[in-house]
Amino acid sequence: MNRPTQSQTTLDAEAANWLERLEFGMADNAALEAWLARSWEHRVAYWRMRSVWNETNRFAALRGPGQLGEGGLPISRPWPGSRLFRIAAAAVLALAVAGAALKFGSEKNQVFATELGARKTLTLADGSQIELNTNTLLRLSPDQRTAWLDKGEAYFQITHDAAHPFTVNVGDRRVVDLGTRFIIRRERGNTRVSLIEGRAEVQSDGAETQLKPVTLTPGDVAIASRGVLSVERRPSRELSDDMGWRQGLLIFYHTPLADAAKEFNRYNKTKLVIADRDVAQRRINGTFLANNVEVFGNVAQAALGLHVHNEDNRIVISR
Amino acid sequence: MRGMAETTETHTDDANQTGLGAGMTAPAIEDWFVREVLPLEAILMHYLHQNWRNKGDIEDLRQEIYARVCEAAQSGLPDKAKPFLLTTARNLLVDRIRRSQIVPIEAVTDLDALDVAIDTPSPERIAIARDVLRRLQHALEKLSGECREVILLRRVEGLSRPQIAARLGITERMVSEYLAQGMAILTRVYLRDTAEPGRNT
Repeated sequence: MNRPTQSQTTLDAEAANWLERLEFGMADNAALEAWLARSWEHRVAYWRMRSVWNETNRFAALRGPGQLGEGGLPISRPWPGSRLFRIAAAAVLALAVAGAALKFGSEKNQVFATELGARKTLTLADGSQIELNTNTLLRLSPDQRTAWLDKGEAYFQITHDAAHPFTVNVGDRRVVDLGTRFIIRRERGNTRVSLIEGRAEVQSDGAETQLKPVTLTPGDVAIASRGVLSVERRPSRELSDDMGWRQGLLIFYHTPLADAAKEFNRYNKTKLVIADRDVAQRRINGTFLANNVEVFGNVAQAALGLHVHNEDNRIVISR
Repeated sequence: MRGMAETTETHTDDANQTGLGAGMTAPAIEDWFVREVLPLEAILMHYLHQNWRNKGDIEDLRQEIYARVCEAAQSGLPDKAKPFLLTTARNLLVDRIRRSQIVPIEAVTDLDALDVAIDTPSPERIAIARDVLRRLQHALEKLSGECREVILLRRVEGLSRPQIAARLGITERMVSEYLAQGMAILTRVYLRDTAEPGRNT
């Protein structure tokens, strides 16, 4: 097999669920887009089902006084009064309920996604909280003890349950909660786990990364890239700055402009561009609203004396 | 599913979603897929049933073939959908056999035979396609009573989810499940029942 596949019946069921939620006006469009973006298999499963569902619009042609149930259309009057029919109907319904629950209820992962610049807080049944930062995709198992961070960044505050440890899968790494608050950030090529409180274990699997598990304690930041896992101790103020996004803030402390621009660009459609290499090395302090990139431009202009040029979808900062 | 609260806080920018490549846009590919490829589903399924032993794989194979043709269509829509679809199917089956050390070679009846009959026209399909409504009704008959009721109350009477729930005396959650379940089955039956000669079901 040359690509990961998901069973067709599962994808069909998920596509049907999306259509149903759209039909009743209950769909989260961003989450649907994220689901569709996951693979061509997802897209075609959805397109296929939507095309037939659109065709069923033709049933509306049968609408009209006295036409319901005529012309061979198999409509029965809902639950007619006879006792026998009711018992039979109840039995059929019970069977169907059991079947539907098995098929659509218990075995599905839930998918949560945020758009560029958005944040979302999930509160799980056991009181654990997961906060999703901008442009993030997270899946959660039905028992809510396993998560997959497919992209972006999330803060986890987990109610510890030694018998059922909470596990976050990030690529071929796993972060296992040992009573914890932590942040995981996934970027191109590397994953960063910052431990705020408690303990967590970072495990690696996959053929080329047979690394020993590492236990993190507060202040530890583990950075995992292909085949390498390093752990550094960071000052607590740096960690709390890293959590600014939970209030919608970006906090910079002697941060090079290039890095600050990169941070802003995670949240906004309008992109900051640093035109000169030496400007990129200039450092900036301050606390900014993540989605107010214009203010950053003003500060660069006023405080650093730089030239700021606003264009359509970008702000160029130069000498 | 256990309970969960979900709150969305800020919401500033539109998404930068879907990583479609250059060339054909997603709507153009979808339009082509629905218009040209989906009507061939019965032919494709017949082909897969004839040439693949393990019937449990067939729906997955269908999915992967659709994904492959749409992915390829990004760089330009093929002139003729049918040979393109069946060639893709053939290549996938051959790939599967060559890559797998588990599937025995006789999984496919005959690799060379996979090429034949790729261009036979199917007048029956065209004739049947004229009567979409009749085919839809036929597919609807295959559904359970609850799924059928929910679909018809939605499509014919245009009732809302709470209205359907009240009418049928079931919970709104069950309305959703019947509708989704009904859609999935209706799609499969409708696309399969294109009255292709010699189909397997």
